[in-house]
Amino acid sequence: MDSCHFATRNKGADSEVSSPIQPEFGLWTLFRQLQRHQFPLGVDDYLALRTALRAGFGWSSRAELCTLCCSLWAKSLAEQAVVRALFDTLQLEDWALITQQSTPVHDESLGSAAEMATDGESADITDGVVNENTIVASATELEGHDDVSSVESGVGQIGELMVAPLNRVLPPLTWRSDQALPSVHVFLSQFPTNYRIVSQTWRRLWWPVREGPKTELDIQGTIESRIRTGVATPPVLRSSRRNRARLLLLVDRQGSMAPFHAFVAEVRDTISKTSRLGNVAVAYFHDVPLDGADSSVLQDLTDHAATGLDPVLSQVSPLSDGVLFADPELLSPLTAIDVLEGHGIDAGIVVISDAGAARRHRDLLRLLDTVAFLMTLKSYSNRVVWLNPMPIKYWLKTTAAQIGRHVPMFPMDADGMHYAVNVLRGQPFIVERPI
Amino acid sequence: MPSRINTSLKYSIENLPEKREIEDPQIYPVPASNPPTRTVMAEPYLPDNELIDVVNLAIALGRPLLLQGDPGSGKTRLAYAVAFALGLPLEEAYIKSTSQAQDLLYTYDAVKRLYDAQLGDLGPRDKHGARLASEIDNYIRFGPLGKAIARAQFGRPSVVLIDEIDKADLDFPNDLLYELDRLRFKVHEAPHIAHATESVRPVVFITHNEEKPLPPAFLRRCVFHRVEFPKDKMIIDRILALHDIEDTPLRDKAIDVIQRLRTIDLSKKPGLSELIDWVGYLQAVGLAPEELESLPYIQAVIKQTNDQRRVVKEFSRVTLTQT
Repeated sequence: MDSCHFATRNKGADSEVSSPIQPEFGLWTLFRQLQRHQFPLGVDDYLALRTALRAGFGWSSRAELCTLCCSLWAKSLAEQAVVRALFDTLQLEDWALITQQSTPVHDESLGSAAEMATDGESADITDGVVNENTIVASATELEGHDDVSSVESGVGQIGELMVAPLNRVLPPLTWRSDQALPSVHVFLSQFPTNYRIVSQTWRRLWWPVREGPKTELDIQGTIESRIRTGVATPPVLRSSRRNRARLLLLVDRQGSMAPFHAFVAEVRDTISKTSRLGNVAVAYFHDVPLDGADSSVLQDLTDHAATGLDPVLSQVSPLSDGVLFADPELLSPLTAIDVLEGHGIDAGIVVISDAGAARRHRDLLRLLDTVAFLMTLKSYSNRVVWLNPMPIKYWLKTTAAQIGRHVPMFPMDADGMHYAVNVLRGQPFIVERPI
Repeated sequence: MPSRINTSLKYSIENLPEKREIEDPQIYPVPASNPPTRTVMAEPYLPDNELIDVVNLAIALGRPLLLQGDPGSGKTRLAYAVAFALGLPLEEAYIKSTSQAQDLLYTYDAVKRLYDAQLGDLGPRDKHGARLASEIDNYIRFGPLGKAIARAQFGRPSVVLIDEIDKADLDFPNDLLYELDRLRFKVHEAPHIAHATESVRPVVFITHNEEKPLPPAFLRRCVFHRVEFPKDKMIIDRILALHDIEDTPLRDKAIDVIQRLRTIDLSKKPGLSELIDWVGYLQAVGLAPEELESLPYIQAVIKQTNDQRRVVKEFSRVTLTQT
């Protein structure tokens, strides 16, 4: 691993510095901690920090060093909070100017700085910086640091490797591992999918149709018209493409879906913002989209565990009068007919619900109501998918498995959404028992 | 990423003149030497020390500076201020949702060339009498980043502002990665036109409205800073003074009102540029500081009806308790 690489090269290069044991350099530990917190950091970022330290940034106070780490490693407000919280756990000695006579601090970049601090002669400076360069060159393929002839503190020129002021050494920073973290907790959302995956998956859902005013140049048409007539003709224009794909999301809220509220909200927001869809409508319901299906058909049913509603499927009538909600708190009702007429015709319809998988048992009435609603949906659009936030291994022996026999049901992770978008794009999907 | 540290440019706000002669960025093509200059007035901008440090860090490391913050917090004007302070020409690239990364480097007007070629001998000619359509160079026009790289190749740095980068398509920042990293590009339609710069790097500012997240590969190459509304009353006072608002009692009262407004739970909190516009107008109209309690012309600062109602209710409640 990279840390071992650094350590071995260090030991070889710094062997002339008389030091007993090398304590860990705190900023390297901070860097590794951030990597473990899923920060997209590589060795380049650590080297950038070292370059900035060599240039003289981050020396004057602890706050400045913290800000330097945040500027280079944190790329959003939430990440800044994490970096600051972890930086606060670094134990620090008194941040006073330590002069030339102090003992050299043991670390790669500080080793060279310390050598310069203690010796202060150009020969050793070159040695120290060449030392630095071998470490740098081995870690990445940076080119062009051959201009190490003269090192001046203060105003330098472009291309020279500027070194930190000669009479200052960064105080030793060690990791305070035995102490409890500060009580401020920073919560970072960790969903099964991230923003980019969701947006790139749902961007595939687009049905481009040329409609609207003719604003685009049709190169092929222009060339053809000129070939046909043989004289200079005005360019031929055509309408630009508009995305005619529409999407209706029906989202289950509260009850068994309560743990998934934040995840579903984030996916819904991502789809609304980044997909190239013209019209993303969202409606909310609780447990079943519409209820009140005629339960008399269930009288003849004997063993629903094995076959579900299959024997009486032909007798189930579509269910369409009922209420869906316009807001996540289920406070503003809309008639289901209005929603489906307004947004559902020829649209891709996605139902986001656990379909009873969280309850871990089979519920016949729920299955009946859901199947009746799916029959209604079929008359509006033939592209219906079901996204289930519960992982697929929990569907067995629950209503979710039974519903999954009638409608394409996918788990709500990256692969599941990919297959769902395939079905919404019109790819045929074979369900066990079509309605 | 280069390991060289650029220490030739250092941004500081001390002793800035009122106006300066800076190279004119509108001149096209970029002259190789002795560029014509134009007078640029000083940009009234007061950055805090953290912002100055992060600008110098970005210049020293040769990385773009990514600025985030609420609208109206001064992200765009920072580029103007730094360009004036360093005496460098400013290339502006205002990104739209239809922007392509290649347009920042160059654009090739193929249709115009087709037209001019169609006219044959009757087509337009350049000053030497040769037909324009015969030379592809006449139809290639560099964009802001292309001009900055060309100018850097001639040894002159410049400041590039890429404004509101998240308005563009999801892939836009990724398309810019190579050019921002290596600072070299080649015109595909005319391979003899190419520019590359090794030692001189333009200073790049990228502003971000937080509407969409940016790709991590792009974020890794940037230095990040979030511009916040100043918390210290003294700093707001100095900023207002810098914008020619001399009426001191009016200034104090306005700052007091704004700080109280920002404590109320609004859907959009008033920003710095709105404050400056509002107080400037109040000073021009000649309003007395006491009248500010009734929040005159508050539409310049609070832009939504719900917020306005809440603010008026809050302020009338405070006045009642005071009397």
